[in-house]
Amino acid sequence: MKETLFMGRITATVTHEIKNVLAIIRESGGLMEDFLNMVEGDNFKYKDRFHKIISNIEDQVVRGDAISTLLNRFAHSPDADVASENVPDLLDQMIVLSARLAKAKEIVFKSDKDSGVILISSDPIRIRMLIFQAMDVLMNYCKPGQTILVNSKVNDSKLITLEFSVDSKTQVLQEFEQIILSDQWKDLISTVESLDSKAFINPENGTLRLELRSNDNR
Amino acid sequence: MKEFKVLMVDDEEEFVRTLDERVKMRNLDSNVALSGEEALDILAKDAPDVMLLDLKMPGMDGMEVLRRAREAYPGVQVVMLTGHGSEKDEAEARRLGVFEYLRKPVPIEKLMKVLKSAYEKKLQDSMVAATFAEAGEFGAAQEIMDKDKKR
Repeated sequence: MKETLFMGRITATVTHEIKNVLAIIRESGGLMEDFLNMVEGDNFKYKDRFHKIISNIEDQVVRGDAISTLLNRFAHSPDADVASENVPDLLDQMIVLSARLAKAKEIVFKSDKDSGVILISSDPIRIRMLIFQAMDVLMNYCKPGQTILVNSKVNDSKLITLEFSVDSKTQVLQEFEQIILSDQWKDLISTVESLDSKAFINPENGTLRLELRSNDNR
Repeated sequence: MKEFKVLMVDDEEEFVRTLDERVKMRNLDSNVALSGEEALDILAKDAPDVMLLDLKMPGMDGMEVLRRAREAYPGVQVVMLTGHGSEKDEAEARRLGVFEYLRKPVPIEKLMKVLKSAYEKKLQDSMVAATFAEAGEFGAAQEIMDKDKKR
């Protein structure tokens, strides 16, 4: 646990420093734009090109800011043994932070934006690890170019379900049958059991389902 | 004629000098301090209308500068701009009476809007206090100043 806290503390500190770097880049780009706006008429041949470059800088600052904000939240996850968090936010956090890995496999994860607020009280590190393990299994067993839709919902008994479904199901049946035999799946089962929850794989309809129990509903 | 005076306090020199230049281009009178101690020196000599204050700085941090500024110069509105702030920090800054709490990086248009709103708040408070003072209601004027300090 001390090791996790150490990793989290250093990562959180670095995300703050990245924010300072982004702030300097934003202001420097902004100052260039201020000067550019002082150029009247057609006195500067590359004015439009410069505006486009400055706009690209601004877009990348916004992108970097979003990533470092989510990485900061991730780094603070070891701060408490149990925390109440919004499941769709956790999902979005893990999708953004794993985007590079998914891109390398040419897989796209899309979360359902209409889930609303679904609170879960659980171990903040294990719940993130479980979501990532589910994504990681799918990244390894799905085909390049496939999109995985993730839907989160809660039923009347307060059982929270996260369902990952592959868009073109006909191609995945065989691969999905192999998932259950893999070491990755065994690791996922170990994590899900430590959270008093369950995981299911369904090769027939190409879905991976996590049934999560909140600490306050056990 | 500049609109109003801003003091920008941040130990990230490259950031604060660039921002200083941009704010000056937008017709504000601006000054820079690179530490909490330097900010308090400037406040004592030439108090600004609004102070833009970083939170985490070596030596005296922004929270301490905010605490002292609200005590000694309640008329100066303070806007926090930080890359380090937690929700707990924000709650503490609001308890101490910060006008607004922003996180880096912030677009210049948004920053200018917040600075102007802070200045308007300062004008509003001083006008109300002056009205009470003119009417001989010094107690009420003092009360407004004290309330503003605690805001």
